Amino acid sequence: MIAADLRIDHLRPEELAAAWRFATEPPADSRIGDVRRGLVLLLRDRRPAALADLTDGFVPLPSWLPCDRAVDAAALRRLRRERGATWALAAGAEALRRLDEAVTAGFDPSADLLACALPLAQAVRDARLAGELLFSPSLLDDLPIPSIASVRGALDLVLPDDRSALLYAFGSRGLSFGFIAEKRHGAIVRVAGHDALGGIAVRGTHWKAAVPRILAEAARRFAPPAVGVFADESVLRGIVFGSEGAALPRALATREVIVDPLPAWLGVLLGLDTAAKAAGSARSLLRRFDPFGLAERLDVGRIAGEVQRRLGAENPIARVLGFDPLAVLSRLQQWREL
Amino acid sequence: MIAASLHYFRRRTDSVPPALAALRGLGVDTVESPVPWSVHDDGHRVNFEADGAHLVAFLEEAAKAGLGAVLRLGPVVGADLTGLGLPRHVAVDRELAALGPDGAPRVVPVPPRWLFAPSCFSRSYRARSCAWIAAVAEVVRPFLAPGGPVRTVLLGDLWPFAGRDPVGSPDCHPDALAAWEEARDAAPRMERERMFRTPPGDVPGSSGPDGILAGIGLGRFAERGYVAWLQALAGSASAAWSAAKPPTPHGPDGAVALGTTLPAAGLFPPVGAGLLGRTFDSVGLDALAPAARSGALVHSARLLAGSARRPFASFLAVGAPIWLPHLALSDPLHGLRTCLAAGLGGVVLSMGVGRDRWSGGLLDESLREHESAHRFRRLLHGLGRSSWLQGRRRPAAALLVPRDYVRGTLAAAALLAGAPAAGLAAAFGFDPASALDPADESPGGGAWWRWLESAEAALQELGVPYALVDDECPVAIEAPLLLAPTLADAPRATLDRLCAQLARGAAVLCGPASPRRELAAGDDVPAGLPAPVAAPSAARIADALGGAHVPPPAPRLERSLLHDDAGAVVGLALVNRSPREISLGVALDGVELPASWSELDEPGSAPATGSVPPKGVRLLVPGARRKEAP
Repeated sequence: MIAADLRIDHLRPEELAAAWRFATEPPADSRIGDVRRGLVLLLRDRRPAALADLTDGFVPLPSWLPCDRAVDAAALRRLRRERGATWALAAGAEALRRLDEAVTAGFDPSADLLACALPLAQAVRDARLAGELLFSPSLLDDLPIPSIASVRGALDLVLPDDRSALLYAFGSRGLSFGFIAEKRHGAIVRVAGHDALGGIAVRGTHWKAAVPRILAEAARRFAPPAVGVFADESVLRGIVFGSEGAALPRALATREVIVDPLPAWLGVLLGLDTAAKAAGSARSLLRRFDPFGLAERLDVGRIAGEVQRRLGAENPIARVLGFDPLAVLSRLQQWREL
Repeated sequence: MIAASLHYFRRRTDSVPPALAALRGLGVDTVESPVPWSVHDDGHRVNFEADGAHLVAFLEEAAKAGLGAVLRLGPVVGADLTGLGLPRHVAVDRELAALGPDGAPRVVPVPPRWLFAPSCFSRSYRARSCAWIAAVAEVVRPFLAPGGPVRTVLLGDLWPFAGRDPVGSPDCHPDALAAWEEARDAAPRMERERMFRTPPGDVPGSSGPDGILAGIGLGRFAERGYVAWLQALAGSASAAWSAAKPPTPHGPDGAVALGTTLPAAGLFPPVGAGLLGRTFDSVGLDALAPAARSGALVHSARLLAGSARRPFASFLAVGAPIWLPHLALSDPLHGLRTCLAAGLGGVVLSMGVGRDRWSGGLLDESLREHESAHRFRRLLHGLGRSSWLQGRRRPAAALLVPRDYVRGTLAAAALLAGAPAAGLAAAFGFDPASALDPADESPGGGAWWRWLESAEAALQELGVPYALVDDECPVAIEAPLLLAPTLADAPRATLDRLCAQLARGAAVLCGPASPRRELAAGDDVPAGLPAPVAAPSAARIADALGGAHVPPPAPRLERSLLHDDAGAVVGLALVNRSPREISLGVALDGVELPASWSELDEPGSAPATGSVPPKGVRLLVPGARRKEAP
């Protein structure tokens, strides 16, 4: 899936920094927190021994946290909230040693990065279930860990061989970041920044004018695009970080997000998501003037399923992976409430 | 040495000359490149002339361009290469890998392909890595200084033990175990009982004083094993060169110098700066990415500057590897100024020319200047025109870092958080000792660290120019005041430093506890050591310094003069640790000589003006010319 001789080039630091900011600094009204703000509680015999705050370094343990009792999920949650952290992890040396052993056990010299890492994900899950590792919030406990074959299948569906995929975000001063990925022989062989296209100018907010040329150059220098997402950065943030419910369908309608080319799988995915979001919006609207509590009886999941059945459409990614990535995103968007 | 990185193997042969010319135009006098084993060795033959592996052509072009060359031979060169630069037949060979107690090979989980961590104790790996070094040395021989461009050859891994803590994750390769037994049998009886009590497979199995002592012993053993391997690599290179000139591992003036590198892990590097400094004169600091916390880079630079004979910055990030989070781009020069202020005598900016798997650099892949390049150009040209890099600091105080206490801390951290603890702490810029109990006065506790932190804070409060010195280093301490954290169990090297300082009549402050026995052997300590100071306050340090330090005109302002070998002043580093701006007029008040200072960026031109920004560094050189009327 990831070629051993993967090329990553023409990534300007400004572009990479913008992408990093995009991924880690959600809007203030988002329910996803800043992932850079994390806590690691080190345990000795499952009891608190030291606390590391990724922002402030090692900090003293709070007085309310007893050092002679095992840490539980409630204590970890309180610790996270008190320190304003987005996530917290509690682990002891034994658990970390076991994970280290899982890294060794999962290593296959002939396998690629993801094939080696998936057994580690399973080891983390096992440690979590055994109570050796605690996470707060525990968002993805029920998410099935896909097999390497299903991840490969999903990648082949999303990005077929000898094709490229583009993700571009634009701000008020033009390009924020743009990435192009190229796939050959079942693996990503190259990831590049916008500069790799030979310096196509993007003027301020008029970025839509540059899209056809970007697509043509990507086809010429990389491979014909299979999917391209071009978006206004602030709108994209709203969609990803879930600060607004029906942001995606509206952005597509107003062309603040352009998906070009739009592959069939994405069309189905967006259609189903839009149906679910529409049902959600309907419920929100209904709540405002609903003295009989009808809104609570409106089952969003059932409506989405019904739409899916009537359209005869099936979420292709969910079929291959075993779970729906958009449902995972929706769950992540509840982060701060957990 | 004002160097920038250019990875010749990532460029076509015909694109190397214009890249060298462009770097020269930026004020660079030396070009640096790794020589990756994986690029030149396909498992069947070693090749240095094919396109993509054109080391010979690269060195010829460097010579034509009038540039010096620094070559990094590894074997593990990193450079974001698959397998960290190890050829596949080495990176996935279980026979060469470091092993865990259960016999499972240690894995280094780096993208895009994981690899086995090679064991520097494995006889087979030693033989193959020495053969690689000998093969490159043979090719490089015609290009050695003084006649050729190659001035420095760096050996050893980018991050010793591939990011693993040798105490938390000891190597149980049969050759490592045999070497450990040999070292145990050769140790004096008491040392054998205290430091070799537990075999590597069981460490760190037990906490408490015995477990920590065993951990310190294991740390010593692993570091010495690594250094022995470095010496074997150096021997291979020297043997290949001996036909042309006598082996010169310490590089006399004008000749090629063999050196090694130290990762920027604050005061907790995996191998002691002092031990490396005893092995090679030239030791470089690898600051792979802009540090998340600037304190880690400051500590690393000062520790190396105080512990090696020829310290330099062997990798100062301009840009960042794409695998690591990107930090703010506000002041890309700050790291360079920090290293120059610490007294490092040479810099390698990485990257000089942008490349695959790296974002940023002075020039991009197409040799266009990056936006910040003009700021680097001014400073690099200034370095070339001034004598800054010939200068050495003369600190008023030396703060000793006992390496055995560092080892004890690493052992305790491994007990607390497992094998990757030290590596992760370094990646985030944490000091692992901060996680330990500050009231614990054992080598595995945090009391010594709290004392060291207090001493450093007091020195900074007073604005005393100070150095950090690894107690196992070869450099003699000449500062008027020595501050040393000591516990009841004190390392021999620390005791020797204390005695040497007292013998020359200089001041010593130590604490928090009075040394009662030597740490390794349990021997009695020499008589006449000073009484311990519980917490070294600023007043106590000022009192100990007496007239050796003139207080600066503003609090938390450190003013360090740099002198050349003849004693002439060649520079002044102003480090403002206060949150307020300090005007240059105030900052220079009381600096006796010379009368005028100019910016290092423009040496000898207009007198320096302005201010020293909060938490900022300014570098000045003597002599300024009055602005002439037009």
